[in-house]
Amino acid sequence: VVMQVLGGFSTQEIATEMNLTQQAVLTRLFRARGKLREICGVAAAAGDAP
Amino acid sequence: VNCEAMQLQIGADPQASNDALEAHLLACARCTAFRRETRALDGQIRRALELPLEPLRSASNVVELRRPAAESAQIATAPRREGRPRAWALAASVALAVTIGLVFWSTQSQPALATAVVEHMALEPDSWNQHAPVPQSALDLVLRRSGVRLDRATAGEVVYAYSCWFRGRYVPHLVVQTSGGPVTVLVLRDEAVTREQRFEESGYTGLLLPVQGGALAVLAREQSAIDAAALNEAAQRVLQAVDFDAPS
Repeated sequence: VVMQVLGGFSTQEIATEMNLTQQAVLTRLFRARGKLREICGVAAAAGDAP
Repeated sequence: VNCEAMQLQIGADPQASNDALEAHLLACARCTAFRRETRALDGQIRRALELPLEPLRSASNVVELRRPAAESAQIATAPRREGRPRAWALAASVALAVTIGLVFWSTQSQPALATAVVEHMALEPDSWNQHAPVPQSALDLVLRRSGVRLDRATAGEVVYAYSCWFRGRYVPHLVVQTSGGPVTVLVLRDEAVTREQRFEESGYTGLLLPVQGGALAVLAREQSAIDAAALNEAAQRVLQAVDFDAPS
């Protein structure tokens, strides 16, 4: 997340840097944001407006 | 293409855009809201890094002190992995600091309620441009989720109604048409306000009103024809119309 949000790396670049598949990077980013949502007290917006 | 797949894309890269995603978002309010919220989360991450470094370093020290001694020793003596980019090691450290910083930031710097209300307005600019009455079934759905009842005849014509995520809860976000123009109402059942508060901020003028242990936020755009008296009149109507006793 840091590499993407702050570094501006694409998911492909992150995958290359971390020796992962792009799909693995996408999954990890999705999960990481999910955890950050919990930490920040933000719920998933599915089903609702913001 | 289903919402789950779209939200996986958005959650992984909220800034990304492609034809399939944009076409889906045009027809799906849920995923549109999810992207908006996820982008806002990324903004929080960036802002968290603007915190003074010292609190983050202190928090990191607390984490380190709580680590079992044997584990710390093992880490201290572990050989450095070959081929691991130093930049990534730095990024991992920053990630830890960000996580801790977010906790620190989210607990220490909750924005004032009026500011939070005004910030929420920026997320839904189209809400001010609605004119058609909201179907009763849709309004009921929004209100029921928050355990709120509204006497529509008293409140006025409701032209916009959504259940919005606001400071950790879903709250009814309504727009009521008045003779002077639209007035936005956030029904904040779980926000305590001890007295009436008037605010003017970022192009909005508004009121926070205590009601039944919760609060109402009522606001209008400053450029509208709604003056303080008209806003107060609209607020009083909503105040009489709202009931927090409905089961959620």
